[in-house]
This record gives sequence, structure tokens and C-alpha cells, in this order.
Amino acid sequence: MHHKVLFDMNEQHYLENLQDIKRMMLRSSKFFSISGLSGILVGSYALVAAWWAREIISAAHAYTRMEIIVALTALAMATLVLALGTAAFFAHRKARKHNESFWDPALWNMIRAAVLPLITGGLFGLGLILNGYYTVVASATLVFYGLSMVAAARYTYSDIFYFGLLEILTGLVALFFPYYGLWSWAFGFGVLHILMGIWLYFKYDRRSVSKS
Amino acid sequence: MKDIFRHINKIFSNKIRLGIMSMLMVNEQMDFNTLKRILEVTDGNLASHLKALEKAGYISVHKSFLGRKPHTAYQATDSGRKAFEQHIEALENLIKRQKE
Repeated sequence: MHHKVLFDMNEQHYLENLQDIKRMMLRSSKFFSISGLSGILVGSYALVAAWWAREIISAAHAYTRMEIIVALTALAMATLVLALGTAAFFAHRKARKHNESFWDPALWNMIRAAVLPLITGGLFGLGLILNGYYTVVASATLVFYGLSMVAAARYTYSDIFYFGLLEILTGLVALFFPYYGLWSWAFGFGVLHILMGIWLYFKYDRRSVSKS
Repeated sequence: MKDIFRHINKIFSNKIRLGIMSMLMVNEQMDFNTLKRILEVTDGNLASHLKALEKAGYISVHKSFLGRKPHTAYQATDSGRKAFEQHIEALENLIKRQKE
């Protein structure tokens, strides 16, 4: 009898030890402060930007080629800065709410993993535009963005991996519909972000809010 | 009976040392302040546990300066990794054994 009790206690202890190990490994190597709300907002910005880009393109006859390129590039850059700012703001807020620090090594690892395909894709897209290959810009930026999400997913929610795959798939499909580039772009950067944001919100954020 | 406990490592019986090793298994290196923040312990407490792991040869210490601030980073050694893996395996075996 005594022996049995001792055994149960030990089992509990070993299990706790294993759970502690797993918790510490996850906590220190993954960044869990990505917010679903920021995904929804970022996707909305992309939809507005896509609509705006369509307006610019439909008025193209009144301007030179260079003016159009500069206007579209400025629009894309402004959207990117706004999107990054929003993502950072909401992640910071979420980290603070959960009493976790924002500048964890996991965040650095995630940024480091994402930045190479992201910058490569940006420069690649710019090169395509300057050479007049407009029809493949949407496809290329979507594919590179998807690759960067797949790379970053190792350091955050695994859902981001599948999100990256969907972006890559959208980019590849867009390659076969070259004259619908803006629509593919709006779907990949707009609709997919919003869907992913809603998914993350209901899977992680809402539950943790109602718990606290 | 004795044999299953052979790889249960006394050094890892402490929660803080277990935490330090867990983090160093999945991160190439970590600095003192990050370890302190995640483990929620005092400077002195953390330092003594790090010392114990260092003495056992399970972690290595890298001191440098970031500007004027001293920066101390810790890394798991090969023998530390091996010992920790064996420890995890032993824990799993013990749980399995008890369930049978």
C-alpha cells in the first residue's frame, strides 16, 4: 500500500518535470504574442490599397509610366509600414497583457528567419517593375511573402506555416492568370490576412481574454 | 530497480536548473537577463544555479561587452546536452514503467 502511494507521487513528479521542460522549451523559443486582430487590420489595409491601386491604374492615361510606377511603389511602401506598425503595436499590447516581455529571443529569431525572403522578394518585385514585367509582380511578391511566413513559423504558432503555404499557392495560381494580378494580390494580402486573423483570434486570443 | 534510476540526474532535480537546461536545449545561447526574466528568479539565485551547471560541465559561459555593459551568455555543452537527453529519456521510462 505504502509502496503504491510512493509510486503515484513519483509519477506525478516526473510528469510535472516533463511538462516543465516542454513549457520552458516552448516559452523560450517561440513568440506567441502575434495578435489575430492585427491580421484582420493588415488585411483590410491591403484591400484598401488594392482598390486605390486600381484607381491609379485606371487613370493611367493621364500620367507618364514613371509617375504611375512611383505612385504605386509609394502606395505599397506606405501600406507595408502601416501593416508592420500595426502588427508590432498589437503584439506589444498582447505581450504586456500576458505579462510577457516583447523583446524575447524568440522574436529576434522569428524576425531573422522572415527577413531574408522578405527583402529578397521586395527587391525582386522592384526589379520586375523596373523591367516592365508587371504581370508577374503579384505572383512573385506573394510567393516570397509565403516563403518568409513558412520560415518564420518555426518560431511562432504553427498555424502561420499553413498560412504561408496558402500565400505561396495563391502566388503560383496567380502566375496562370497574369491579367488578374491585382485581384490575386488583394486575395493573398487582403482576404487571406483577414481569414488568418479571425482564425488566430478565435483559436488563441479570445479564449485567453475570457480566462483572465 | 536501481538501474532505471541510473540516468535520473540529481543536478536536474531542481526546477530552476531544469528550466535553464530546457531553454538552452532549444536556443543556441541565452543571456543572463533573459533567463532571469523567464524563470522569474533573483540574480543571486540564478547565478548559483548557473554556477552548479557550469561546474558539472553542462554549460559554458561567454562573457563580453555590449558597449559598456557586460554581457554574459550561456550555452549548453555537448556533455550537457547528452546528460539532459538521458535525463528526459529516464523520466519517460519511469512513467511508462509505472503505468504498466
